[in-house]
Amino acid sequence: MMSDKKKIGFYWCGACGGCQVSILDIDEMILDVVEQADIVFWPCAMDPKYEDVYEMDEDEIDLMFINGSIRLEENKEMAELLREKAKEIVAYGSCSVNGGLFGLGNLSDKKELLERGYSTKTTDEGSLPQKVTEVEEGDLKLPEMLHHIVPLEEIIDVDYLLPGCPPLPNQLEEALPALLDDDTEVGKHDLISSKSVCDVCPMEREEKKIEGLKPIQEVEFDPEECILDQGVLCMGPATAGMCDAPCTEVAHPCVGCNGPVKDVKDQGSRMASALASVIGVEGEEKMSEEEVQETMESIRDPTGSMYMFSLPSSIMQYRRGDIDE
Amino acid sequence: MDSDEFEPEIIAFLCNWCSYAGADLAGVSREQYPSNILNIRVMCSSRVSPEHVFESFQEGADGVLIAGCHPGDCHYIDGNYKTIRKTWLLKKMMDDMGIDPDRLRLEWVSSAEGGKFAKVMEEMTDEIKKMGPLELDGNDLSGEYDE
Repeated sequence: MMSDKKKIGFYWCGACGGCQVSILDIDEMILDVVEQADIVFWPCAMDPKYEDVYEMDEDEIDLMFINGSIRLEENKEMAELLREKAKEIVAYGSCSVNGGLFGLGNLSDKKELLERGYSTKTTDEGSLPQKVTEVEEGDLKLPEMLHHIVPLEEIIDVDYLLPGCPPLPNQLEEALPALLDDDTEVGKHDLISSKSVCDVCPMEREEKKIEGLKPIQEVEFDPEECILDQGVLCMGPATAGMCDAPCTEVAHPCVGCNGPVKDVKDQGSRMASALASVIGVEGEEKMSEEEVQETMESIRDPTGSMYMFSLPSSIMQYRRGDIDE
Repeated sequence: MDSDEFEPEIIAFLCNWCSYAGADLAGVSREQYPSNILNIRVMCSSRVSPEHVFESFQEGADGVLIAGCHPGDCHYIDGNYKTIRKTWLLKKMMDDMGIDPDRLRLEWVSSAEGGKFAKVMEEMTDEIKKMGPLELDGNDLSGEYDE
């Protein structure tokens, strides 16, 4: 019977589209989903217009998955609108939970980003995107870019957080039935693992000291041994491990896409602490402070690597203007 | 005192074994130092995570001091070497986040250096006074296009 079915929807804000594909990645399980629920709103696969959403009743959608970062005024407006139209909101994917990869844009301000994107040497020295452009046929409007990216949670109330870039089938296999079933109680942070990627990683870790970090191509790489032990930056110690470490399993260092472990706010800070403990050289007691610091200089772009997916949800969130440049 | 003058707030994380005892000695030997400092005792200087420092700045601190045992004297053998490395990383991160790295200072104060403790506190207060208050808010989420 139609009326028993739940209504679900998927919406994308500033996103790459991977999260949308990840929904299809659950293969035949999608059949179980559509048995329990009707997908009523999915701009990526259907053709709804803004008006259709405005015309919806309040709380018409039972479960709304919002992915992507809040980059434009439009993303913010749609998130606020969908909050009214949906009973429960899932922040889906790392962009909406932690700000995601696009969040690194927060290390520059809006003006720098626009100038870099629209008037570098490789593009015509042209105008920055305008909110309204007048043409013969009428006014063309573009949504305004926000100063910095914020996690979805800061714009609207979110009921569940489901990070991942994108969330993997094994995460969805667990999460979807629980979210669609009224009798199963799921807490807001319950879909984030309290184990780190290191806890679920199959590689052998000896917790030995390393002398510094190297790019992976400069290491004689042993695919069985812990990546960090071999001197390659791996975000495993500071990253939530609900992915079951598929990357390290094939000897690719963890980049930290799941964001921080449950109940931790600042992924980069945790990684900095871990790195400071892991790096060390023989006979450092005899070294000067400067020489000890030099062991750290092998870390390239520490902020960018350690906050790659979670800068907007970290303590600082975005670059401030204390330094005059 | 002129009430209009900027009085910085400085958080000092002091290691239990050396620097806190050093601060104690400064008190016992009646050394004078500015009252802008809020001391927080931690078991080791390497206990101070970048989270604590960022949180301090976010909550209104104008400067943060981390003080521990002299290199080689750490109660936990190599804790302060971890502090050296962590502070280096932290300063890089602060620079990228737009906070002047000079607002964070790492000092070694032993339990016998009450005088040095007072001196460091005085120097740091003067430095932060010169830098002025740390202003972290001011960027509105939305902003008009800058032409």
